[in-house]
Amino acid sequence: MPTTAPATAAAPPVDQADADQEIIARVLAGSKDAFGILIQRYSDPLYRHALGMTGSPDVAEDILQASFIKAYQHLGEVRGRFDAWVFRIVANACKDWLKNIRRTHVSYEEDDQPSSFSTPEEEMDRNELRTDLEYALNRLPESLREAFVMKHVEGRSYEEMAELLETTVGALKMRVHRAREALQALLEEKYA
Amino acid sequence: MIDETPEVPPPEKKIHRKTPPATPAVQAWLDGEQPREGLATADEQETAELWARINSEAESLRKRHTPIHVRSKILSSLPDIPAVPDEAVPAAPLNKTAVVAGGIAIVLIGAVIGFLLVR
Repeated sequence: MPTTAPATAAAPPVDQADADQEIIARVLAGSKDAFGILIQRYSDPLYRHALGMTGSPDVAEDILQASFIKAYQHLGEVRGRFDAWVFRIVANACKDWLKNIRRTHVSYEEDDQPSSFSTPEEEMDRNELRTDLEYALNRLPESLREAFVMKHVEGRSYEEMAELLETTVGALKMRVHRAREALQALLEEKYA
Repeated sequence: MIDETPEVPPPEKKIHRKTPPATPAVQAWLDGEQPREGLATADEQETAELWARINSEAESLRKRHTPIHVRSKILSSLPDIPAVPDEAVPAAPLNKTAVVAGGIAIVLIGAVIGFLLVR
């Protein structure tokens, strides 16, 4: 068990942002394949965000696909960092989905990731916690869920979150703290 | 018949929380601002235990990758027409005469409006 909170994901280095601009220039000059480099570079964190926000791998895939197509179509409008720009496209798509859909049950189904647990009992406990965590996340307001997913699931720093969501570190800390309180209240009956 | 027995308020419903709420110290630990050893009370340690389990699950989600087929699916569904930057869209051609005539027209309109306002 870690003695400190999870390490945070670093923001892309400045030279990578420059590299993104070069790739964008190539795409705009007509090289469709060059866009594949941007997909390769950023699809994982964006997929995790969509998965954390929606709880459904199928929906996360659809959102990712629609977002990259939108990004491709509007690539000439990128000002500043591409990763922050495309993140906002995905984040907005997730919020729209949450607003529009009435879900009865979603879960991290089709989990084809390898398990690190040695016994079926451990695996069962883990699956139960995962389901309950998803259940609890579904009950959070969008803004709290977004902040919690970015901090705990994606492992981002408050500074990076503030840059991506265009808000302040203080406001995000408040959202994450409130999300923790709410999740704890929902989960403690079972796990405390 | 009026019942004059004093109304006894119902006993307060006690909300039983199995773990204490996350204190500022627990929040600071979760934010990575202090080590877990800094949690002094048994309550804080108990809350930290619950959060260690939640964090462990959240961290497992962090290892998820985009399914391989999704990347190729996105690439194959991109429209054929490449994105065109706004700056690349050719603007309507302007010649010197048109610019001068436009300027004169603006000045004249301004003069007329000024004249009407003064009157």
